[in-house]
Amino acid sequence: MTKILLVEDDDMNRDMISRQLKWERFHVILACDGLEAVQMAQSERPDIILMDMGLPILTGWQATARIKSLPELHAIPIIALTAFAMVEDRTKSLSAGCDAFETKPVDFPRLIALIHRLLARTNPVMATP
Amino acid sequence: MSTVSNVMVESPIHIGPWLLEHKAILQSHCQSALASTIFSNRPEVRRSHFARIAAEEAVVLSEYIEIGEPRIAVEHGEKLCRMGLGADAVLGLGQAMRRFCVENIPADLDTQVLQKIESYHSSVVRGFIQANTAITLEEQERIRSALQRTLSRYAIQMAVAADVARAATSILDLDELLQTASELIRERFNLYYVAMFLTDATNRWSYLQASSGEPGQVILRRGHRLKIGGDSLVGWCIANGESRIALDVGEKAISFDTPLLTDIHSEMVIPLISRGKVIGAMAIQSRHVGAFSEQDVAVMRITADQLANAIENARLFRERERQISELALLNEMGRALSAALDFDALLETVHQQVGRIYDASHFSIATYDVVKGNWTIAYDCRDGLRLPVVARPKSTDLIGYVAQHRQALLLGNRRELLTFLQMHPDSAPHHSVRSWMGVPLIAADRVVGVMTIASTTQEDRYTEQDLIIFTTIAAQTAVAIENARLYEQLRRELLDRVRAAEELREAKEAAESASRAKSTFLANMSHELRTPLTGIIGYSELLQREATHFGYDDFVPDLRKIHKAGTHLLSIINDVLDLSKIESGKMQLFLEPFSIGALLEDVQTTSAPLIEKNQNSLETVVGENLGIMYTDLTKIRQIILNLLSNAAKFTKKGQVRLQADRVQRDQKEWIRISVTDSGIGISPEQLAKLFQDFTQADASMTRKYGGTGLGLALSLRLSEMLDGKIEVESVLGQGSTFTVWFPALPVPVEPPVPPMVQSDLPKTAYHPAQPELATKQNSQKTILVIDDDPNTREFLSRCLSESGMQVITANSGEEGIALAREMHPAIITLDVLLPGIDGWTVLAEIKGDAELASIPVVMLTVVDERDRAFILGAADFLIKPINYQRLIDVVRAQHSSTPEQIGQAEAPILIVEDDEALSDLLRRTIEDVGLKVVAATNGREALDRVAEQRPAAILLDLILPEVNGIQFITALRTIPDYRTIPIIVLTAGDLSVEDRACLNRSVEQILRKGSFSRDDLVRQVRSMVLNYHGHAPAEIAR
Repeated sequence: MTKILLVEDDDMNRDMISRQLKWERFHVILACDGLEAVQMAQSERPDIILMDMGLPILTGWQATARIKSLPELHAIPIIALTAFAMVEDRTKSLSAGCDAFETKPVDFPRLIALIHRLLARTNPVMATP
Repeated sequence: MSTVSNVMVESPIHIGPWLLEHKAILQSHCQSALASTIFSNRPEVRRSHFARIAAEEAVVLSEYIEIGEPRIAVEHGEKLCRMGLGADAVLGLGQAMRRFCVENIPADLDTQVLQKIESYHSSVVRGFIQANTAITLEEQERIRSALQRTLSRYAIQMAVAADVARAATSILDLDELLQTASELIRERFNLYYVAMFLTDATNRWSYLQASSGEPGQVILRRGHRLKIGGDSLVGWCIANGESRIALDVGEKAISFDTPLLTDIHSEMVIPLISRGKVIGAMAIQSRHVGAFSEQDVAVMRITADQLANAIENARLFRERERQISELALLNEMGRALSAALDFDALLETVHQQVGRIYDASHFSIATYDVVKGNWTIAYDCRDGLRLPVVARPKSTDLIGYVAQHRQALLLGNRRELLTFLQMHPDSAPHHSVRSWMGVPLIAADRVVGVMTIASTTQEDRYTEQDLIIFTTIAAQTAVAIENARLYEQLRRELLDRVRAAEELREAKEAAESASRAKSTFLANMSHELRTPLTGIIGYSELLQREATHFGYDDFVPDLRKIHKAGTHLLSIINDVLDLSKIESGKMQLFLEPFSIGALLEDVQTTSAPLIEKNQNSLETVVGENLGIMYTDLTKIRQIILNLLSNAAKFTKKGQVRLQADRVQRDQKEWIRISVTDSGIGISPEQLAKLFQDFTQADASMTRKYGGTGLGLALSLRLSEMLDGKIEVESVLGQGSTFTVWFPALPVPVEPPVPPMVQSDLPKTAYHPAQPELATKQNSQKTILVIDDDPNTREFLSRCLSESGMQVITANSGEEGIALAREMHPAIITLDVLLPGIDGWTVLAEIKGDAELASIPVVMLTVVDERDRAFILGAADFLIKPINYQRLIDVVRAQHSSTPEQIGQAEAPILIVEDDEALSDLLRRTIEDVGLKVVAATNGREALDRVAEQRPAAILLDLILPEVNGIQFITALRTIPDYRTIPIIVLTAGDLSVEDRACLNRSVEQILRKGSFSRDDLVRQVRSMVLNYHGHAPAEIAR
């Protein structure tokens, strides 16, 4: 089963998104701040990470940069999932190292399609959950 | 010989030719000067000779100036004297020359010419005086030797007379001369008292000028004058020009009734006559009764004649001196005034300068404000005391009189002042004024003020001669005042402009800061709203799933409502952000080719739920040949969906029709898409504010129909971004039709590099056209763009493909050269700053390759290195940022530069040039590149040629006989049909500022003769001919 690390500091959205993902038959693990996200990524080695940007301790951008700088984690796709929806925010996320950018509120069909595309790219075997 | 050559070297500017050019004017000045003077005492040298003398004067002057030998002028002066010309006439000639100079002298010559003419005239006067002295002495010598033979006593007297004459002729200071003569005559002839009287300029009074002995000095200091034609012997004598003798006047002298001179018995008065004109009288008194015999009278008369000549010489000399100082003053003033821009300092300067030659005890300058129509006494100084500046609404005094009559006015003495006052009772001058002059200050034909001067010490202080000088000063002053005024005005305007610019900058900063605040606010608002919305939308979706899963189907409709409300709120946020993005110029376009038919199908599917909601039906009418469109798909889609959503919203159980076709309008091709509904319609009042932000047709509509009111505003802005427009027609209660027009742009051959912004919607896939498309077969139309900047490549590709060219690109020099060898493009555009080998090296490489050398290369650089580009063989040169039109022109010019292609232009080139050789050269140059030529030699002919056949372009010389170039342009541009004919001006000289301004408005190019090459000219003409045919580019791009 595909393991998704969902990094989200808002309790309500963390709950909602994780439940939506479970409906799509993903295994979801959770982190509530940027630092925890980096630690979880190292310990749990998820297949893909959904990263909020406005996070405490380490911001989403910092956490992404940290993860992408580690050779063993470098290949894990990271999708920025944020309410910062301006053009500049997109650029900022992509330059921090995110592989894709999705705005909140979440368009789930789109998000799910994106997750599958990214998984297919990194590991063709994982393409189907 | 060496003197001559030196002088020639010293005057690099040729005054001689200048003078010869204006000889006729000088001659007429001289002639009128002669006519107005008492010319001669020899009747045979009269008016009939004026012309000859005047002509000779001009010739001698130019000869003098050419050769620079003073002897010529001195000899000429001697000759004038021997011809019998009087001193007045000689002075008159000097005046005439000065006036000639003041009126005709060009600014760059003034000092030189003035100096030359001054030195010339000085030499002429010197010659005249020499000759006059010589004549006097010769005459006297002749008479003396004749008389000596007959009478010895007489001979002794004559010897004395000769001594007096000799002494007198050697003195050139008038006062000294008269005083010395008086003393000498008294002493040598053993007389009691000798006095000299001279007439004044008005010829009404004679003033005591010299007076012998102690008592004489006392009388002289007091001042003494006698009325000409009055009771006195002197007055009678001067009036009649004859001597008078009173042999026993008794105890009281007739001429002087003064206690200082008591011992007078005999009295004799001899007129001083010079060249037929009485200039004064010599009064002689003796203690003895019957002291004078006829013989004494004769001797005295000879003495008086010689004295008169000497006086004339001295006067001439003095007048000459005065003229020189006046001229120096005028020169100095001109210089001082032209530099003075501060108004008050200027007026002060004028007063100071005038005070140097005149008694200016009272001096005033009144200025007239043309705009406000009132007078100001800007400067009023009386006996060294500066009076405060006063304004006066109307001037009825002397100032007003002068201004009104625009004429200089001289009131030389009390009598004239009083006479004037009787006729003009309002115009009283100050009571202490003895002599007065006033002149209008005229600039640009308008009276800008009046300048007055008054003497409180002496009557007849100012003469007509002074008035002329004063008028000249006034002319300079007027110009200076006008300059100062303009300068002040300019300064004020400049200050205003600086202030306005400052305000504008502040306003801009305020606006920018407000705009920043707004952007920040929008970004924050968006973020803060999105977080809770994520929950609302997400949970409602989640709950729908779970409800369905666990069998709570009743909840699903309500959950769907929550979800829909959330999505609607999100769309409002997105619309607001879009609008603000467009406003701040951050909205980017992503241009791509797509099928219009596919787009319509897509929107039809997407909008189906909306349409069906109100039980409407959608009909799609698609025209033929819709084909491919090249624009921003996402934005067009957004616009159409918006219109469809509006139509569906405001229509119930009705028809919505979506129509699309390709149409011609205003000579352009458009894609027209319209959405028609049979809904509630829009009233004319509502129509007026339909496209405003946050405005629905009616506020109550928001409640009834929902929506943000941003949809149409956004659609309008988006379509404007795509160079399109939206039109709307509506009948209240019957329905509306919204029509969007988009320009049907051709698809570029090379796809542009996508910008960073991506649309949130899936894109229609397309495959970039490969460079292989451009093969050697169609290389005639192929352009190779070598540039490492993707944006520049995209821009060039788009521009060039729009004008029907095939574009291939290379992002480095190496790749560029390789592609050039492979493809043989028709033209290459080349950037200078490239990674790897730079543009200059690429250019050199291309030009060094025999196969590629003939391909024109257009250099594109950020710095102007034109020379380098052309030296290395570039065909043309453009500076970044690149002007679209320039680029197209340049490329077209290169592309069609073979003679055959240009030759297809039917319209000829019109050459207007009066120089036959140059005209011929131009004709051959232009015919060489295959263009037709017609020629004209002046403006009138040129207009005829234009009327016969409208030329493609005109090459125009400015200096032409009859109708000149400027007149021709003016005439041509008044005819609407001919306004667009491009003109290249060829000029030999520097143009005046006005001419240049006039030309800049109406000609394409100004070329200086001798400073442009054949190639320049050909290039100019070509580019103009191409512009001329610019309406039909297909012809050229063939």
